[in-house]
Amino acid sequence: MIPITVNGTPRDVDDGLTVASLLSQLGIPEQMALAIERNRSVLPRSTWPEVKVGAGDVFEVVSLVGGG
Amino acid sequence: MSLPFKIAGVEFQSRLLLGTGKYRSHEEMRACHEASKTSMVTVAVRRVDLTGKSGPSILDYIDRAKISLLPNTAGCYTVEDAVRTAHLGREALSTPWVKLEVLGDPVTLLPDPIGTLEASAILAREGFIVMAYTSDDPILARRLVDVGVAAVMPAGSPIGSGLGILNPLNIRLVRDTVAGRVPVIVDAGVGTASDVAIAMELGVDGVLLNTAVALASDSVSMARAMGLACEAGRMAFLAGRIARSTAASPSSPTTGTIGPTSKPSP
Repeated sequence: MIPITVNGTPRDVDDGLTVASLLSQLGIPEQMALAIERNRSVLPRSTWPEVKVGAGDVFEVVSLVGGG
Repeated sequence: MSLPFKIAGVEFQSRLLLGTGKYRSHEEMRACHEASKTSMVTVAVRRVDLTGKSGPSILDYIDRAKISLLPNTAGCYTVEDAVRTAHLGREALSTPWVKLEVLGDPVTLLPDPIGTLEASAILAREGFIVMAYTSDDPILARRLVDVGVAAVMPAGSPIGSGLGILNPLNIRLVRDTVAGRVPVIVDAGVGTASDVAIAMELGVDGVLLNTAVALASDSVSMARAMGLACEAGRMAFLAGRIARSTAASPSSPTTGTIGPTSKPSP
């Protein structure tokens, strides 16, 4: 297991996960309108199946909500 | 009679932009959008709820064939956060459009003018179509246009206050300062339909509002009223209002009244 942070909360996940598999472990449907930032850089959706989750990575996983 | 409403070269049917926040339900929001005939709505970028409690997506209640989405950077108090949020919104919605907010203070929610200018410059350089929420300062508006924003969006009064257009002179000056370069859209402060009409009569290109519809007792009727007021105000502006005068001027002939008449002397 490796420590990461997702949306401000620390958690341990399996080593060797891709970002796409991390999403599925988090129970987030990939077809949602999502954006993911890793260590303050946006990860384009096309890279999610390849990019590996690393120890200490900080993720922001966002979507759209009502706002003005 | 009216030139088409364009932002960054893209034409929109309606000059009324609405938000998607504070509605009692997604269904009510959708009905309001329809009633107002809006063609662009804002949405906010927020962390996904990892506890699995989030309901259906708001995007499922927006008819994207008729309505364009404008992700915002609401809630950002620094240039860095606003730029990061803009990047996330662009990725999530595959759109270069952004309503930029760099707030200066959580009490007034007034924009940070320096931060707004800095973030506008960064995002415009990166190819974003920046619609910048700003104060009603004409000089700042000009500086924003100079760094490449696609629309200047001065607040009529603080966000959600419903106080209307507190400084019509400044809104007019903003409009006159950037006229012909980018559209001016009054953003924030609208309380009721007359506020929209007043803004449009000042000659601005559009109005963006949220709370005044979402929290009205009958939100769908208010949404329709806002749409009508937007059209009415625009038409009145184009029609050219009469000059203000301190003297009265009778609308009926002053001759031919039945006699004998005796007018009081002035």
